Formats: sequence, C-alpha cells, structure tokens
Amino acid sequence: MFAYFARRLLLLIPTLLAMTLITFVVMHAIPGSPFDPAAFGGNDLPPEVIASIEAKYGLDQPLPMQYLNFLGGLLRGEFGYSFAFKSRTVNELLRDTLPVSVHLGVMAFVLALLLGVPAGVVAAVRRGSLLEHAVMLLAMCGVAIPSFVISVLLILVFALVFQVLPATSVRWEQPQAWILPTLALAFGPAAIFARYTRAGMLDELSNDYVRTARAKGLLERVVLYRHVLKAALLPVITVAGPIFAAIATGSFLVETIFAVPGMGRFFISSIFAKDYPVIMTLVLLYGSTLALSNLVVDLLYGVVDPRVRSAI
Amino acid sequence: MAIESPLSSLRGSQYAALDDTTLATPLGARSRWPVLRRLLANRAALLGASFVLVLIVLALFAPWVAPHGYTNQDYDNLQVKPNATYWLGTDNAGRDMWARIVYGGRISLFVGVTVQLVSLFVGLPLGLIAGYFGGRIDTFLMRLVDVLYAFPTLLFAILLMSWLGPGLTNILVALSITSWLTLCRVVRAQTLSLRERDFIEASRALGVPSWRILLKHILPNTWSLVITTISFGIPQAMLAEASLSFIGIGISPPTPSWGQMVSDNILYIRSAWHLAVFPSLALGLTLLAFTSFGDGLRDAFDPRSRT
Repeated sequence: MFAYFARRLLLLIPTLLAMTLITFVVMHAIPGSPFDPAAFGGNDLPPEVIASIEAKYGLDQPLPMQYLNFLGGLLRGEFGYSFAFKSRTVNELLRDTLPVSVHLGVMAFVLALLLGVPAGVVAAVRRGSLLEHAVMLLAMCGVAIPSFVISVLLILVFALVFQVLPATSVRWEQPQAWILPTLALAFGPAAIFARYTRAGMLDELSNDYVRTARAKGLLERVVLYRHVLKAALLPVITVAGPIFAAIATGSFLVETIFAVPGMGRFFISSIFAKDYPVIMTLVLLYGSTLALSNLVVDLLYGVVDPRVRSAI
Repeated sequence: MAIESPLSSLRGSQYAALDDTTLATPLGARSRWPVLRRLLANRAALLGASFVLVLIVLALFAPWVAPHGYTNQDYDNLQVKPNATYWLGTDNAGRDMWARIVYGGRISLFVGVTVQLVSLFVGLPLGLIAGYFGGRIDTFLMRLVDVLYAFPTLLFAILLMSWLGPGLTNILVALSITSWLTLCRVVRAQTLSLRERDFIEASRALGVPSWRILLKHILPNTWSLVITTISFGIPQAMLAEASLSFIGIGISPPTPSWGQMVSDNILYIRSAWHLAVFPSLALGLTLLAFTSFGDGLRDAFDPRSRT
C-alpha cells in the first residue's frame, strides 16, 4: 500500500512537468511581447526601452533558458514578477487573491455536500414519490446548466426582484456578499453529489445484507444510515475530482460575474495582458491541485474500503 | 460469412451492454426496436429531443424566423423591453435580441456538432485501434490521453485561444484538440472487452482479417456507447464555446454568441434585465434539453443503468 502511493506520488512529477512544458510552449508561441505598446495596459515606449525591460525580465534569453529559469523559480517557491501589475510579484498577487478564491471554493464545496447528499438519500428512500422526481429534475438542471447562467438568474431573483442581496460581491468582507456566488458555484456539484448518492443507495439497498438487517428487526433508520449510507457514500468519494474541476473552472466565470476579488478575474485579465508568469502560475496551481486531489481521493478510497486496500 | 442487412448491425448495438445469456434469445422474440421504444416511453427525453429539434429548425431557417437581422441597428429603439416588433426587446445598440439569440444558437449548435464530428472521426478509430491491437500504439495513445486529461478541459481551451486569438475556426481547433479523448477512452475499453469474447475469437479462428473483424463485429457493438458519448459531448462543446465567448476570447463581435451576450450585458442588468437573462435562459434550456435527451438515450441503450 505504501509503495503504491509512493509510486503514484512520483508519477505526479512527469505529469506536472508535461503541464509546465505545454503551458510554456503555448504561452510563448503567442505573437507579440507583453510590453508591446499595443498590449493591454501597455505604454508607448521606444524600442530600446522595451528591449531593456525585456532583458530585465529575462525575456531576451533563449526559450529553453527561460523555461529552466521558470522551473528553478518554481522550486524555490518564487513565481516571478507580474508584467501587467507592475512592481508586484506573482507571490504578492496570489497572497491577496488566492485566499478569497479558496474561501469561496470551500464554502461552495461544503454547501454542495450538505445539499447534495441528503437530497440523494431522500430520492433513494422515497423511490417513485413526487419528491424523488423533484430532486432528480433539480439534479439534472444542476448537471446541465452552467454556473454563470445560474449566477445571472440568482442576481435577477435576489438582487433585482426581491432586493435582499447585493448583485456584486466587490466587498468580500461583508458576509452577505458570499451568499449568491456560493450558491451559484455549489448548484452543479450538489447535483453531482445527489445523483451519485442516490445511485449508490439504490445499489446497496438491493443487497442481501439489507434484507438480513431488516429481518432481524433493526429500525429502518439504523438500516439506512448505519449500514446502507455508509457503503453508498464510497462511490461518492470518487467524484471529488470532477467536482473540484467544476468548482475551479466555474469560479473563473462566477467571480467575474459577481466581481469577486479572487484569482479567477485576475486570471482572465492576465490572459489579455499576456502576463506569462501569472498565467503559468495559475495554470500550474489549478492543474497540480486537480492532480493532487485525484491522488487524495485514491488514498481515501483505500482507507475507507478494505477491499481496495487488499487489492493494491 | 452471411450478408448482413443494415438493420442487423443496428440491432447488434443493443447487445453491447448486455451479457452473453441474452445473445441466446432468438431475435424474433424481442421487440424490433427496443431501444427506440424505451426512448419514446421517456417523456423527459422526448421533451429534450423536441427542444433540440426546434433549435435545429430555428438555426437552419434563421434568416426567415429572425427577419430583423442580428447587426441591424434601430436607433429609435435602444434597449427597449420585449414588445410586438421586437419579441425579446433590443440591446444597447438597438439590435433585435430575438435575432441575436437565434443566430447565437446557430453558432453554438454549429460548434457543438462540428467538434463532436471531429471527435467521432479521430477518437473512434484511435480507440478501436488502441483497444484491438494493443501493444506500443496503445501505450503511446493512452499516455497522450492521460497527459491531456490532466489539464482541466476549459483551462486548456483558454490557453489555446489566447495563443490562436478569437474567432470561430480557432474555437473549433481549440475544442477539437481535447474533445476526442473521452470517446477514444470509452471505445478502447469497450473494444478491449469485446476482443476477448467468443464470437470475435471464432471469427479470428475462421481467418477473418483484422480490419473486417473491427468494422463488421466490433464497430457495430460500440455504437450505443458512441451515440451516448457524442450526445453528451455536444452540449459540453456548446458550454465551452459559451464560456470562452463569455471571457471574451471566443466568438468575435459582431457575430453573436450566447456567452458573449451574457458578459456584455450583465453590467446593465439593473436598467435592462432582459439583455442578460434571455441569452442565459437560451443557453441553460438548450444544455438542459441535450442532457435530458442524452440521459434518456443512455437509459434506453442500457436499461440496467436506471437502477
């Protein structure tokens, strides 16, 4: 088991290297310099000045050298200077925006778990009822409708029609600014949780041990929550990877709509500014978190399911 | 080898998800079109399918159903609310919202279908070859698929679009590069399991050439998976296009796109709510319709997946 995870952890290295290389190649294939006067936020500078700035940021070196410099910085935990937000390092920008994005993502994840799992349980237990149909319909909406469409509808209902919540979340220090972005981001993941929980419950309910437990007179509550739910939640763990991806990519758009001062908006503006260090850092951050979360899911799976543990 | 009618290859697909015992059932004893029958019995799927059909008709006949055009500006009617002339109102430049939504749907559908056609012509053959022949081709392809899979799809598309620049063709390229991965994986897995089955081994023993086994025996048994995967892939590609256009690196104006209309108009939601809400609804309902149809298809092909 330990050897298995050590191997998985080592396999992360080539995956991340491939990711950095692809990102680097793509970013540098883009024509134009970030200091081009025509670029986003660019100044009208004479060519000599541009050349000297490029030398300062190491952009005059051959591409393989630039790549190695970038990798060296990564290993030291330094992501370089942002080109567009002058005189600020990427680390400083991350320090301001990352906590906001993580805060929003964690709230959305917890809310999705709290809404999705009980909804899935209810749908499985009340098989064929109106409640089940309602939950499944909502879950299909959640799976299909993207977070930015949900955002627009939430703004329409809560900020314009009822006027109970702010339409933008610029002031992140106010808790009421958290509600709409969190709801918009949590809807899709909650739907995935609900679908998997329901499917897992129905699978388990058809097992012999459920009949045995009922036959020996256990309370239905005990059968459902002590026995069935515990086993049914196993497959739910495996969707944590896709859920993370849904929350991460959804947050670019949701943060933009609600003007949340997080990383997502910042990522989009850095694309327009050809701000290589920022883009590379953010892509790597998302990519490595996704790869790590998949690893953690596999690890968790081994911990909670003895059958998997012995198979490894 | 018996001459096969086109029908038999279609019927073959229903066995893809069933076990060997069902193969013993004589064909006559079963309903002729069980998949279609199950699909028609599913009201949600039918509703989704009809919505998609309406969308296709609107897209095909856009110049007739939206005679105002999507670029014509009516300076006397800027930002008006929905009325008899402008069914969904006009935007800040006085352009007909109904026309922009119809033409936006045309673009969206075009992107979804084209990207999935590429995935069909790339992912399906590669999946068949990797699964059937195995060996080095398989190892190489699966490594490639794994590396590309490690990237969140939208992130990869954003990166590519910032390189290629906005525009319809570039969107098709950026989305097609990763769109075939899922189909390739799914088809490979199915081919791997089919390869070991008795009827394939029997064909091999009879000396049927590999390409013939692939085309006549394995391919027909992957159709159900291919159709389901593609029916889920189309809305995914449409969503990716909408997201790219929302960010501002997708479809370039004045060509309308739902995503771009939402991001352009969200600022005016207080003074003109209809500008952001209608394109949002169009996108949401379309994706919902496709998903509902796709779910119905999956259940119809594999009735066991319902439980």
